[in-house]
Amino acid sequence: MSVKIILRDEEYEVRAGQSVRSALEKLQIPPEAVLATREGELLTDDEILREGDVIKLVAVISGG
Amino acid sequence: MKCRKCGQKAVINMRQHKLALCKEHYLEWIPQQTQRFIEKYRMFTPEDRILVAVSGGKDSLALWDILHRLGYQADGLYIGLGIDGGIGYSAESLRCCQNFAQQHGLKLRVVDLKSEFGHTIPELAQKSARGRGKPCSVCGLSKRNIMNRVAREEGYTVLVTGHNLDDEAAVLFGNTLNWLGGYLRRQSPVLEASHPGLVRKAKPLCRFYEREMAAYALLRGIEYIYDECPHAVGAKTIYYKEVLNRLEAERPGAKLRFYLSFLQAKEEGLFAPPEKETQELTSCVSCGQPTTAGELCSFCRMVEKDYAVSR
Repeated sequence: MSVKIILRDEEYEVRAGQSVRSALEKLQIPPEAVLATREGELLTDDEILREGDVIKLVAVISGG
Repeated sequence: MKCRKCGQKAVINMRQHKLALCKEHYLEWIPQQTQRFIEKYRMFTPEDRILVAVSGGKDSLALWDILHRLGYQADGLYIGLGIDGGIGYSAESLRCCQNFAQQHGLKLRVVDLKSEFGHTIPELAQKSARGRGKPCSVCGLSKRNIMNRVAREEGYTVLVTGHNLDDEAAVLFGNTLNWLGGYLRRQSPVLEASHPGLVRKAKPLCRFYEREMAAYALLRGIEYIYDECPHAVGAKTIYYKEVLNRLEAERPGAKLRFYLSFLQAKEEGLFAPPEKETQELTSCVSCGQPTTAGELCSFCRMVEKDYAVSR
């Protein structure tokens, strides 16, 4: 089991035991551009990911 | 990470302020800071009649929520742009605005571009020379005209928009890359009414990061349109935001310093206007709004069929 990270229609798998920020950096997702949530709760970047976590990322950048 | 105020589990860490807060204290902190910015930049007072331009997105609905909580008299203005993009974009954004207004007992004024001016934004972009391949330019022109017109005709003393710091920093970045002096001089948290036909404008969220506004909307339970405008894909503003966010990741506070040091430099006269800066403004013969474009303002020229490039 690992951690599932979902951003819009994309799904990624990362290993547990690392921080949200570390996982985002490895996935090359700028931490400033998203909010991480677990079961609807907002997470800070230092939160350690646990086995089986499903992390939904909320994209925050808009423009035009 | 713990909340600095109460020691409970934090839900957000703002690295530029070295400040982590729990949900309860974050939802208190944002309106308090907004009030501080409103006063610092002398945006408006409780006596003002405020028109909030709402798009259904996180920033404008969060702004409406905050102003309402702070006790300001703030009505909403939604402009129906007629953008579908396969996701019913305008219909969904209107629904979010109407829901919000209904839940909070607030007044929402709706202007539908197609019903009132005969064309949607995609149609205007097709028809007019201005819009060929760039609906965003047509959209910006239409929104500026309608927002000012409604505010003026309905007696509002200030028009506010939900521009956040990322919006402001991205515009500043683009204008600096191209040294657009006129735009740099005008960029400000408050745009004074420089003509009797123009309404004063203010941006109370201009010092909050976009991420902070999204967090506020989520924590407050505000339902907003999550999808991006289909026409914004590939927009330069988004690219500039991405570039600035890469900088921010390495240097927390870089975006905020970029914007605040610009405002400071402006105050110290770095962008002092040239002696003869202002262009003569006249009133548009069709809608009466101030214009530098001649008899008809750019918006009226665009919507009037005779002036549109339809071939």
